[in-house]
Amino acid sequence: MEQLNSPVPPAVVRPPATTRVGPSAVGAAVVKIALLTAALLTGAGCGASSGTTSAPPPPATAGAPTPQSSDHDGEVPPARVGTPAASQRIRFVPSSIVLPGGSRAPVDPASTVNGLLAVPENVQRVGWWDGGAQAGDPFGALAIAGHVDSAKSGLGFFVQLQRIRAGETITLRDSGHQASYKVTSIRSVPQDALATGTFDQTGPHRLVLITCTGRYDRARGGYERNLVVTAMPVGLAKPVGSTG
Amino acid sequence: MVVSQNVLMRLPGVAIRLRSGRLRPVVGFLLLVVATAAAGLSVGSPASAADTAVVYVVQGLPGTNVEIQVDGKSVATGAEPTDIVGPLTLASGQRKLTVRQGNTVLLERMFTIRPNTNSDVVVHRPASPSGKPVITTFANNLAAVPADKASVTVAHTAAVPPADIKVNGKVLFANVANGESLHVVVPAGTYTVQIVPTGQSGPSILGPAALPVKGGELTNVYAIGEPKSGTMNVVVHELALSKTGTGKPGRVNTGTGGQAAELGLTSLWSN
Repeated sequence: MEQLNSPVPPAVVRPPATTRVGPSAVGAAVVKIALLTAALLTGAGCGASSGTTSAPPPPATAGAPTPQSSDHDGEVPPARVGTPAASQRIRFVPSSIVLPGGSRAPVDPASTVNGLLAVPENVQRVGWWDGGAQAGDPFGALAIAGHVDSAKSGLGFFVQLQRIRAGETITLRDSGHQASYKVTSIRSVPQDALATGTFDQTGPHRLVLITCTGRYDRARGGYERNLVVTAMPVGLAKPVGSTG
Repeated sequence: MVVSQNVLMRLPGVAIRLRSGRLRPVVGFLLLVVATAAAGLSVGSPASAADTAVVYVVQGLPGTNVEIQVDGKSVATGAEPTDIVGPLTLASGQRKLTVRQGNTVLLERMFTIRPNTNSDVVVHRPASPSGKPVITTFANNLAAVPADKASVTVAHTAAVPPADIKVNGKVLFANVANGESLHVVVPAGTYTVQIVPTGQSGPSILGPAALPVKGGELTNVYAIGEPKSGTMNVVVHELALSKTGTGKPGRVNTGTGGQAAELGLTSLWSN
């Protein structure tokens, strides 16, 4: 996994002058292309097939005359269809999370409503912030928050985060993919300081799990602090069997 | 997510627009070529919209101006390198693209478009510097993104062997061959992009160059041309996307019962 810095200020690096296409370069290139084209049309060129592409091979036009007429559609070869390179990253919205020890909870998309992240009311489900990174992205925080407890339902799934340890593995899944993360830090912050940096979408990709912790303020009906567990990706997101 | 084929347009009325190319030092200009036969190609009736698709033709042949025809009808004359012709609203099915230079047909290919899709049809050089021009179709990934994120597709359509694409100095897209593309979603901002031979640090095929990408947009970047003739360049095609997701939370309140505190489970983190 690359540790990428992003974004950079504009114009840090200027392209070399050789990549510029000025009028004179265009003019020279026009001549070159015209000559090349003439060569191709007289049969001096190679076939369109390239030995280096993994895209479906173009039709076998090598040696055939370039079409000079469009009267017969049946003779016109098909265009190539662009394909994703093998190094295409997988990205996915997690639908479940597996904590160290193997317990699993469903993950639902969660929106910010009036500044508050609206996590699932069901304390056995957790919420993926819908404005953040997806699993497999190269940059940004993928934030998942869930209840430590609720007055109605008692202890929540994320009560387990209170005892998570650095180095342990967390796995995110959807129906066909998974991504693993290794816990690198656990910290508690005052609730009103949580927003500082926690949800940033720049910087290396990381998983951020959030719940409540510290003292419970019964008069206010809430905890004083947030527990923030940060985990870094272990390799890229990858496909798995159909058993999300 | 892989670069999907034939992505359905999520919003039928989504505004699709072209802007002058960024990468300004590299891209001299990016002109919108007005479709000269738009009336003959557009299907304006909403009732038949399901049978149409949006197509852009990308002129990726360096150093030459060409005429572009669809099904024998001219849609652009004098299309210059890096020009983008469109949007063209075409009936779905088999369409024929003809690239002409005067009375000479440079190449002619059939391409298939499915209803309600949006794609770029790129006229470009094959990997071999001595090869004839080719036409490759790339589906535009119109999946919605958060307002502060940019959807970016980088495609190899240049006369060079497979290449690595470095972003901010690191290889983000490895071993991309002619006719292949890669898609990624990144924070909006300006990135330093460089194309180098696969597995090597140089010589640089293109760049490094500053590539600004905007939030809420798809930015297609096509590397075109050929290094030896000094015609390496990029075509930047921007398409507006619908937005998804909500803004950053200010607070997360996920404990309303106090049971965890009563059990002593949260006391470790009181300070």
